[in-house]
Amino acid sequence: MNLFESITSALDCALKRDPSACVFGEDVGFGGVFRCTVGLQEKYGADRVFNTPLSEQGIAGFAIGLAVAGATPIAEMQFADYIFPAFDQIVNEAAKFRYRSGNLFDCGKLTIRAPCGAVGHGALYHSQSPEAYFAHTPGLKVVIPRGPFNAKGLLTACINDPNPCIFFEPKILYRSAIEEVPVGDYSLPLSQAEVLVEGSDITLVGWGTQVHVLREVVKLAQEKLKVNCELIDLRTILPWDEETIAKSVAKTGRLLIAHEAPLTGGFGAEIAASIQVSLITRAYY
Amino acid sequence: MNRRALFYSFLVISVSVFAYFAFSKVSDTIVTEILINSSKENVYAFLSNLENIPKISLPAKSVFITKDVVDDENVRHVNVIIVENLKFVGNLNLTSYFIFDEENYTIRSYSHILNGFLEITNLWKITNEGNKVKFKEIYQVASPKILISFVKREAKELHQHMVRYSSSLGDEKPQFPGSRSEYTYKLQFLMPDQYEGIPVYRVMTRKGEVLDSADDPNLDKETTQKMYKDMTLLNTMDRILYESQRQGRISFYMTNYGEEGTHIGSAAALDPKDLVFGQYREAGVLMHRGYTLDEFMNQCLGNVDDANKARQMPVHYGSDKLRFVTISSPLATQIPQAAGAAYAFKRAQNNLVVMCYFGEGAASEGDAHSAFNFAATLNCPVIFFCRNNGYAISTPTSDQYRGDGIAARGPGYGIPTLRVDGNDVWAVYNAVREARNLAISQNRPCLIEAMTYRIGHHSTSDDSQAYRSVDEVHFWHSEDHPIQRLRWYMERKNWWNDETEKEWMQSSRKQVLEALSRAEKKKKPSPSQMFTDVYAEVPPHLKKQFEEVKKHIGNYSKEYPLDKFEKF
Repeated sequence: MNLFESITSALDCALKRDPSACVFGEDVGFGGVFRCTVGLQEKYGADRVFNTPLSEQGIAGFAIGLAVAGATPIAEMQFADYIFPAFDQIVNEAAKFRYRSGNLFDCGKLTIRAPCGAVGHGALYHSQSPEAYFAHTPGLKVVIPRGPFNAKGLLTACINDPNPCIFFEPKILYRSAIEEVPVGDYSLPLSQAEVLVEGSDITLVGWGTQVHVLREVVKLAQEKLKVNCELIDLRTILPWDEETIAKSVAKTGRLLIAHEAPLTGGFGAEIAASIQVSLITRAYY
Repeated sequence: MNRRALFYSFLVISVSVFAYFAFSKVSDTIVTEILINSSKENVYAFLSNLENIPKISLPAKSVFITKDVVDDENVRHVNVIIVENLKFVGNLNLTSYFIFDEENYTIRSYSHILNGFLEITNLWKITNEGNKVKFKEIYQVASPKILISFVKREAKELHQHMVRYSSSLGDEKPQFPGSRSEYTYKLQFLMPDQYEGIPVYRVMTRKGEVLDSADDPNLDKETTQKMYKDMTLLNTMDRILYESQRQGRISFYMTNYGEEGTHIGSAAALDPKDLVFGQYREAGVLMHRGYTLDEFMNQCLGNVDDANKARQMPVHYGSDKLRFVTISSPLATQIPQAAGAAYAFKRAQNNLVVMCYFGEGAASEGDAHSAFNFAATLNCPVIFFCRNNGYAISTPTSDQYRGDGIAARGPGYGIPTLRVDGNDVWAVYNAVREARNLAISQNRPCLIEAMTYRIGHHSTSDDSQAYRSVDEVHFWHSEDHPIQRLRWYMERKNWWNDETEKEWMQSSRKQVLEALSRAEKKKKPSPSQMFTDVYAEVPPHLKKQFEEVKKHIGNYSKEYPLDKFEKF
């Protein structure tokens, strides 16, 4: 399966598993502009897989309402670049619903999917990686997969998680990444980074498309510089797995973080700062 | 009278036809109505041969010919409506004709009105003075310029139009996706003042008299008294909490003065299981559902028994038991959420609706627009209940919108819409009851705009004398108050009098003061509550942050008023 097919498969499993689950967004009915929802409307009906009017704040608000009423909404933002009209609904509403009501109400069943990142021809407004904005919001979970197997497992985990989740899908990987993906239902743990390559000299941390870039870096560094890298895919941006990275850096003594988003105020800064504190305080070892 | 001397002019109003007809009653003022099934030739012949009209022995000057709709079998119906008086209530038509009787120098036109009225808006006396035609208004004029432009047209133009009209009756209709209108050959903007404002539905006069007994919901004495007691208890609670804020006992408060009718009238018409999304000034809805004074006080005090665990400002109430979603400060965010919840209700087939309250100011937010559009296109059984109280903090409606209020937007979204007198508790009750039936039976949203007045300041942080006059407020307080209106209604039925009022006011005041006093004695929640409920479980990074806070406060305990809080 490639990544968009693994997303479809995760949505298919969710719709099968949970009769209250609904998949919706702009152009979702006919299969979506990235083909992630192909065949689902035919299979589950137009009341469960449907188009919405073009309004991201409407999609987010509508999805929160579904979740509050006990259903399982899986909403699509057509591009992460266009998620900002929904920022208020996501940051002020979804993230705070449980907290502000003292746990009387929550929208934990909410999952929002959005294609993110650069492809090459998307230019200014079809290339952004806005994960850091949402990582600054307590109450949200933010997840970015690096490939089809992780995409299905992590998306399933987001759908099942009792907290509102934002799932960014690096769109360059939709067709380029192909892996063996189980057809059946499975999930992978959230907030757990994965060590992909073990090494001793430096820790490299990335997520999404950058994991593939860093894999090449690992090879290059070994070949050209004789540097032995440890590579970690963060997978969940919030709440992130500080422990795995801190332990790795305690071993290697060096840390390099690569992300596609702007450097200033990016999530790399949070990791760098936190890891320094945790090493000084010896929080994890 | 020379019938051939009739000049015809015409009125083409290219309005969107609004599918919803709020009113199906046919006015008594209609004398007769002839419906003919007609081909285009018949229509043309009919238009060309108006001498037929006197056969039904009515003056030609009061004849209207209106083009009506195409039925299921593709037969075009043409209504001929003969109007003696000034109102016709019924079918809405796209293109309408207008007849001018030169001999009597009178002319009548009419305009389309959103909710299904056809109303004559203009009656003119026309005189010839020299070579100039003078117009004298006899009846109210909605848009004189439009009318004058009619009259200036001559029969020649009518003839041209009839040719066009008859050809448009033929094979060509607009085929654009989503279009349901006709072609027109007239370049004419639809002007906002072309039709009257949407009327305000009411049952009672300002003095509490029921105008038509058929509209009286006839709730029993006990139910009516409960409604009255809820309205007045809310009022009493408002006074005491407002004062307590002034005395520094609570941090903030928002009163509900003047809007008690919208709260209690609407709440009484709902099923207790209907889910409510509120804005912030709907405390009466909760009160009617049984939220206790202790619960109100605990929230406003932010004490250990506040359901929100003291995380929000006062008046941000919520109750899962009473199906009232906890209020949040951001404006209008609840409106699309209500649409989503209603969609879930529809799928669950639970025969419940979602009730969503908001103000006319919030209706300016993008969320409101999205919500109306989503609810309409996705067929959500939700009632959008707009409390139009005249002000959004200091912003008057004249700075908020330029159209005919919030109700006028409903038809644009394809939403059944009603404007109601929010100070008439029975009108609100009837409106919400009907909206509820409609929402459930047709799986579609309804929009109610309740016209009312915010007699109090926006909040304790506001002084409304800076932007409105005391006299203005006084008018609503003394002349058009929902509580007084219901009281007059009850007094007429001998269900209430000065003595019961006095007893109730004393006992309700006592209840509120006692609840406030109880709530004030309780401690604030433990600071550890700052970290719970952010997520379903406290994640490691928040546990770590909590431990840091705990350690810090342990080190500097004298700097914090820890005795006011429950322990960590």
